Amino acid sequence: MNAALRNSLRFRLIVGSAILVTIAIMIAGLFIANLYQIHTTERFRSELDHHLEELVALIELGPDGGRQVRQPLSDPLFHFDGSGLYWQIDQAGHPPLRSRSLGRNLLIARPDDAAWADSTAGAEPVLQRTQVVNGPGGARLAVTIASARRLLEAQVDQFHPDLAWSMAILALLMIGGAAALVRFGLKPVHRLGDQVDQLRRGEIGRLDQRVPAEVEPVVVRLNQLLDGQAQLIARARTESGNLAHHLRTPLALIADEAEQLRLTGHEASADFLLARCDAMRRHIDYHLTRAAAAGTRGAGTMTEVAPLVGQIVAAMERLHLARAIEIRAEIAPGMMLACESGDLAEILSNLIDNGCKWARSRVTIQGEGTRIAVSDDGPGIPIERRADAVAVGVRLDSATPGTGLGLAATRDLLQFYDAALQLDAAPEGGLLAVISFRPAARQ
Amino acid sequence: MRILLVEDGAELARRMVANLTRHGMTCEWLTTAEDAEGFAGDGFTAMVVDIGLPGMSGIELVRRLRARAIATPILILTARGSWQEKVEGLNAGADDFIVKPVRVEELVARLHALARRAAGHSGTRLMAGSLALDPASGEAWLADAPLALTASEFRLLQLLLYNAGRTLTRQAIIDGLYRIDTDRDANAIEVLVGRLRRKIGRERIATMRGLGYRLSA
Repeated sequence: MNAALRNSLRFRLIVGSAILVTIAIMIAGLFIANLYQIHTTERFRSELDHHLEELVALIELGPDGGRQVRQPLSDPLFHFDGSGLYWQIDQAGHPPLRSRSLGRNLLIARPDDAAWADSTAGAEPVLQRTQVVNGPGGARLAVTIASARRLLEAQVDQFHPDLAWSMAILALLMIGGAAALVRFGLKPVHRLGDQVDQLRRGEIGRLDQRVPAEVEPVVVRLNQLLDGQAQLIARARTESGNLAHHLRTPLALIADEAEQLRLTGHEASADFLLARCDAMRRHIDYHLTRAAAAGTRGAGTMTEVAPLVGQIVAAMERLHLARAIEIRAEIAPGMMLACESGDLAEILSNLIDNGCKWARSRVTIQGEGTRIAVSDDGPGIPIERRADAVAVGVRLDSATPGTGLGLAATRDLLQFYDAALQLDAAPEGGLLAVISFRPAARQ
Repeated sequence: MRILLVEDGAELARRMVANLTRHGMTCEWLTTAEDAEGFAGDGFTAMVVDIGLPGMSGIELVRRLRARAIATPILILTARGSWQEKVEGLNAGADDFIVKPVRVEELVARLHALARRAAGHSGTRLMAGSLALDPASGEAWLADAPLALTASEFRLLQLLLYNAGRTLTRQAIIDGLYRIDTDRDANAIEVLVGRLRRKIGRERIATMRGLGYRLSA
């Protein structure tokens, strides 16, 4: 049994219920068995009392002055040797009168005690009672009726297995019932778990607060946490955007001042300043993209890919209009990725724009499952230079516009989502860039 | 080339105007999208619009201009550099974007490319018959022979080539060559057209009486 199962609330409740039900059923079983024994003994005694009354009524004066029983008792067990039902009539001065079932045995009459008592008939334990009556002719008679203990025990023993089975079935039904009750009782907790999963997959933005009172405080606080997180993300994005703005504007002025220096003949100084400005711009882009993305990690939003790709493709067609690049997008209907839409836009735009810059005539975007492939029919990147393509600030060809940070930023963004970027050779000859996300469900 | 720059940062805008002017462009500068919206239909070759304007955003301005069927090429300026913003700008109707800090050469090259594309020229040179002009290098040719043009003549020829086959009014030529806040003399245009005609051939620039001038396509 693993630790997770042992720690589960359901397991604890069910095992606890099972133990309690078993103990309760065992106590109830013992109690019922005891009651049955008492009841059976009472009934037994009552029957023997009837036999005793019948016997007393049948006693008559015999020809020898002794007493005799006018006719056999109604219960045939009195007539078979060792049957277990016995009677005996003792009269002073006369041999005891006995039922045929006693055989050679004798009951030990207790004329001083009318209560039921344990005794023996020969070696056999019996339950017996002696009643002193005045018989016909006024003689005092001690009339004893007895039953072998085994007859009573046989009846009780016959009941015990039935009782045990009944109790076992009852226990099982009660444990099953307890399990069903636990399941029913914990349903809101399970529903909450499902909702948290949905939240993580981005299918819902908040938890449903229509929950039992016991769970409500948790749900309310989780929703507050989510709101807080959303505000933090929004603030992080705004702050990083503002920071970019405030850094780039003075940088633009410095770059322009450098251009002015060039015009006045200070070309070396101008080149030095412009190179540093470019490096600063690249690092601003790179680190702010990372900072903005880091804020969204764990937000768990899902983004529908097709509409986003549609927007990016429309923008890219406009951007690369002069080169008449054909951009073909084949995205599986309803495809969703566990990535915040702004981040996914950043990743895909970088890849598609990169494809468009290098393509001769066509860029293809294919998306299915958790994977999107962007390929072009351009020159591609040789295997030995592919690692450089995702390095910070490296441009493989300075003739093609771009900061050289696109793929590095894309790779870093993907890392925030535990997704991967793989560069390969496209069938049409250019670069094939594949991004693979983890499956959305049950991450 | 007549450029409308919409940028709220005064220092940056002043430098951009100076740089574009130095590259032979006539640049008008406005600080708000609201002002630009009213002024944009006034015959500009291209527009440079900062996204982060106070009040109406640059993207909204682009959207409104396109809704009014103003087809002037628009280059958006972004300080944030996020693709989301660029994609939004392009889908609103912008033709290109440039991320601050802007390098003058890159801005000028992009503006020339946009203007050439809008005028239907596919190469890097503007062509009309045996006339050719390279806006980037500042050279012009007639039947492959280099033309010796003054800066004003070059800018007039460039303006006519961007509008080859179309009649340009005197006012449009004045607007294209001189900023609004400078001394603008309509007679100077006639003198300038006359000088250019002598260098490229009288018949190439037709006078449309009461309307203006047209360079044959």
